[in-house]
Amino acid sequence: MINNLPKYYNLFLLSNLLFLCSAVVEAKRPEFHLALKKHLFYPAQIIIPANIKVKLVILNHDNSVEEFDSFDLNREKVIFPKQKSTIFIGPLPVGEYYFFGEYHPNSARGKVIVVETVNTPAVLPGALSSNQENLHVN
Amino acid sequence: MLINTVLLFLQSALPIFIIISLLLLRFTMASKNIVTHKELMIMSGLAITLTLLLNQIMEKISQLFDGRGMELIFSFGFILIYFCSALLFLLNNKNRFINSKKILALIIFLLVFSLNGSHFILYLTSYWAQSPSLESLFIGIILGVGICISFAILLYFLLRYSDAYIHTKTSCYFLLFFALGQLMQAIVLLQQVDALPLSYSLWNSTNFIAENSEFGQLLWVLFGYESSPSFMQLIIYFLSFIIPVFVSKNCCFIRLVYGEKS
Repeated sequence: MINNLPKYYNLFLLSNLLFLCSAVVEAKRPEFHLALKKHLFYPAQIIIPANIKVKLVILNHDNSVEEFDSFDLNREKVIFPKQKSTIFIGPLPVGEYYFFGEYHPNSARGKVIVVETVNTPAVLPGALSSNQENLHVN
Repeated sequence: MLINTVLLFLQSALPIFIIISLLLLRFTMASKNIVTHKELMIMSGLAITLTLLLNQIMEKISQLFDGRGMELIFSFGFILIYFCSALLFLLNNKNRFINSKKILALIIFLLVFSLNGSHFILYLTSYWAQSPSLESLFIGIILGVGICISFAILLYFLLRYSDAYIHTKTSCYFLLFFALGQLMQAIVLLQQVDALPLSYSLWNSTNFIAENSEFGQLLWVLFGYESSPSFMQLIIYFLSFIIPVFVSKNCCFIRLVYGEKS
């Protein structure tokens, strides 16, 4: 097929392939963990620093598929049962950004709180204490 | 549940109906008998098989590349849709490359069908498994199918009319905009997994047209509407539109540079 095309289309195709093959460079990002248990997010609140891109690792402990969804963060991610998924959020200005589970929007809810500096553990009272150790900044 | 199902149809099923309309328009109007019924049947069978296969291995794909497999593979597919559509846009006026155009159309159809279709099946089965009310799900499906079919038929005849009486390349430009929408999906997915840099949004038009509304979803599917686009998204959008248009408008100049006679 390519041989049949004019030369300038081949050039166009080549530039496209170069774009596709461009190397992905990943920098080290602060990492936060989120767990999904019985259709609830733990912790329900995450505090992250402003103006920095962070890595969010979501682990689904449930036996059903869930989708991490946030219109504020412009993120949508399917998390399969007993699997973990990774997304990146930010850099964000100071504020509150809500997220929810697409299939259980009434129970699986939470928010990302963006602050200037992170000093306090970002776990809601009532959230599983074991999850406190999951939340850390590298 | 009802609204969610309708939104699901708009998000994942409508692109399939739109691309069928667009490709049918291009390959039935531009050159008669360019695609036979047998070829159409084979393509449809292949698309359905690929969709079901992708749906089955989606969980495994999601675990590749440290939990970023789905984004990377799906974004690759969406980028490929854009490039094939851009090439089809460029080859529009040429009657010489019939086979090339058929192959490009086949790739676009298969990719749009399988990528959107596998997502659609995943969401629908998940909703189905967790839905407290099956009645509203069924009504949602009927409404969703009705909206998609009606929209695709309207689009087909509207573009056919426009191609004939307003501008001969209307459907070609529409295909390009549709492909830009698919490309924007790829950009968001790549930004989500840090493969492309993230930046602040330039504006937020959520109050004007919310992206999660029915109309917002429709615009998102048609043109890649984003209520809070970043600078990079905007630049890629405009460049991806301007480059194929510029190349198509300057074919004569490029032919001269490369010394091509025809």
